[in-house]
Amino acid sequence: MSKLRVVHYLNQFFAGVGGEAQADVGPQGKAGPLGPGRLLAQRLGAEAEIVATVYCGDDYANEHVEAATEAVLDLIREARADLVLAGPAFNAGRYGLACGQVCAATQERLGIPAVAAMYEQNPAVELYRSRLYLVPTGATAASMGPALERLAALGLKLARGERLGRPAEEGYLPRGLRFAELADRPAAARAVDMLLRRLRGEPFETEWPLPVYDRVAPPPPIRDLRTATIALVTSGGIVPKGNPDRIESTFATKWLKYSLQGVSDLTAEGWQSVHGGYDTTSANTDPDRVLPVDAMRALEAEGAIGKLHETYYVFVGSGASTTTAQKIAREMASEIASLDIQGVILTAT
Amino acid sequence: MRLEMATYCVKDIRFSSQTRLEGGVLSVAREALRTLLLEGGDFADVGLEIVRPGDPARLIHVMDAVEPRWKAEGGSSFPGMVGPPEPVGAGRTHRLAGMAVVSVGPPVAGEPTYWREAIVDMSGPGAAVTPLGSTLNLVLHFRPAEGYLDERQPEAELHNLMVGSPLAQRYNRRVREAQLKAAAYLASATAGLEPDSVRVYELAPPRAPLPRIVYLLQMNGMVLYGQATESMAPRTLHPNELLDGALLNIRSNAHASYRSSSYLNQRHAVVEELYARHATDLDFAGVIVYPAAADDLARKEEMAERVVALVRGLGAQGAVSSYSGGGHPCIEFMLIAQKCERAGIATIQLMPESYGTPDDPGFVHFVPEAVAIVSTGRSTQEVELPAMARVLGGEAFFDLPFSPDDRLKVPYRYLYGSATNTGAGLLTARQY
Repeated sequence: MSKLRVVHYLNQFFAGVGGEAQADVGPQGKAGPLGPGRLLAQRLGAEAEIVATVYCGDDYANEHVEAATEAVLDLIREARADLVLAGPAFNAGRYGLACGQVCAATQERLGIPAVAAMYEQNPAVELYRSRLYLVPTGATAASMGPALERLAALGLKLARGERLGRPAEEGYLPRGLRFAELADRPAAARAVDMLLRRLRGEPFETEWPLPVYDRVAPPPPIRDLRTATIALVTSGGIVPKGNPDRIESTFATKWLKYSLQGVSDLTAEGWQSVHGGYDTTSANTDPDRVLPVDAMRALEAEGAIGKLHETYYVFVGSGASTTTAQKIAREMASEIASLDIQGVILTAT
Repeated sequence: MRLEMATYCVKDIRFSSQTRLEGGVLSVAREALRTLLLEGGDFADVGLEIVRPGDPARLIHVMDAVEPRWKAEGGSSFPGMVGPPEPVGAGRTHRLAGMAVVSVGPPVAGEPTYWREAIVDMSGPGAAVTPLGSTLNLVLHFRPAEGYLDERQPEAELHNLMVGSPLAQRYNRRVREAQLKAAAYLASATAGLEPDSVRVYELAPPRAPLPRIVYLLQMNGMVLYGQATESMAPRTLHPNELLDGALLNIRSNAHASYRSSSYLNQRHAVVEELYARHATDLDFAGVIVYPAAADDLARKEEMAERVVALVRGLGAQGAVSSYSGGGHPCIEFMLIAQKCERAGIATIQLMPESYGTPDDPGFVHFVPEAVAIVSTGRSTQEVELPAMARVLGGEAFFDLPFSPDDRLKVPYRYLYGSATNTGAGLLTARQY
């Protein structure tokens, strides 16, 4: 049985090319292990060998991401890798980002398993933790030995196609991915146990850690509302009567847009709400309550706004996850940003 | 309040000419029961079938399920639904254990189906995650009378998608009334028989002071003593009332995985667990129920304040709090946890992960105080289910691209009761 072919990614420093002054060196490939790769090769044991080392200057890798990625992928392909291991980058931010980029591209474009090693607080961790398996290391190269050990062990498991257990057991950073499974006791027993532990001041572990939300910086204010074109966007599911494009009432998979040309007021005859997650009685009596076309036309008439954009955008928010909402928003925003629209009114239910 | 629950174990169900319980076998007079259910003219027909754990059988279009119960000393077996809305939770109740009466069938005019599909597999991986996968089930397949299918009538008009047309609401009530009537009828076969066991439910004050615990239950698509709960103020209940049939399901258009079935509320796992630990580890102070509030932020705030006022009024030091499901209800559910925690009341939240891919937070809204959560599973994750030889309840799914007898790959949210907020299930989720 032939050995697993491993490619090891390093930066210019660990490849022995030089320090900061050589951080702009472009991607290069060399046969066999270099620098810490030698110890890594030992840790990989008999079933795998480092057939090539690919290295790149940290500045080059971060300033020419596309070109660097293409060149590195070419080198990995040439080496006919079964597995790519990157780092350890420890706390070096640019190196960590380069490792993340290389591993993500390798996985997603070449379909080859790839693992990177870095310190938990390396800036690259937040960007890559849910896309990759990241092996935690200490903050400095003083922890090289154990880092390589863990990198080798996890890499071999992935290359063999083994199913990995939980982060703490297997030695990788929690990826923030949640999967359903069967517990050993019903939820009721687990809940009362957890409560009693809390009341006794004993340590307990929540089964569902709180998410971390990012903040969206607001853009600068509209310079002159009186000349601005404002678009209406709603997650309240207001559609032409009959729901001609069949947007779903829950777990919707698409967003739609409809013309408001010649429309100054929404009525129950022409429009309806198909959103399955709120009491639609009021919206179905007068759809302007969720999509305020009448109010916008009044503002247009008084000159308070320049005009109401001729198209409105609609989604059904029921059952929408955060990630779905982000995707929908990006798509809608991309279209809106390409048009002469200065502001958007979002109505949510 | 002292409830004597007499348990009669059912080992098998058979159709027969007479209804009786003998040697653990429940014989059901099929024709007599069918006639009973057709009284009132709401159904063109009701099919009666038996499915057993391990059968290659799949139930679809499941509406509700209930454990047969009968009040042995008179009184309403299902107050406000079968019999007048008299208080329950005391006296002697007979239960048929190991079985359920399950209602299945199509929707009627003005009844949305986007949350209505509900599947129960009697074997395979699906059976392990729904409580009904391990009970003997008497399946009632309801076929609506013609009047319920006429889309043109005014009562079939759909204004509020979530609750359905007035016609749909009435039909769903009639289905439950029939199902519960069947359940009481079957349980009455235990009259005069010796039970297999008797359990007394009574909350005697603990001898030494123990932490006072309340259970908070958010209601959605339910009736309390037969009354709709949407406009109710939060109120306290004795746990016996839950165990004795006061809180029942009324709406079919609710996520299958956490639709609050009558069955799971009668056999409420959190209430049972708190009862089991009462006077040894804790002092079970009571149950507070509140409806999933209006879509209005001010009303949600007010609802949360009122619930917490009741919690404090019971002198509680800790709470277990169940989420009913849906986007809007999660707001006041989180507000309640926040207000409790800020008042020094340790709160454990019981909730399913309802949204998104594995990297998604899985919930619409969290508060920083939501630090102690028991997850009842990732309901958007898919599970593979095998083909089944026998399908009851319908010919085609409402919104799944499979034939019901085929192999399926469906999210857990279609599996009836799989993420129940009553805490009865084993399904959870872990972080990777």
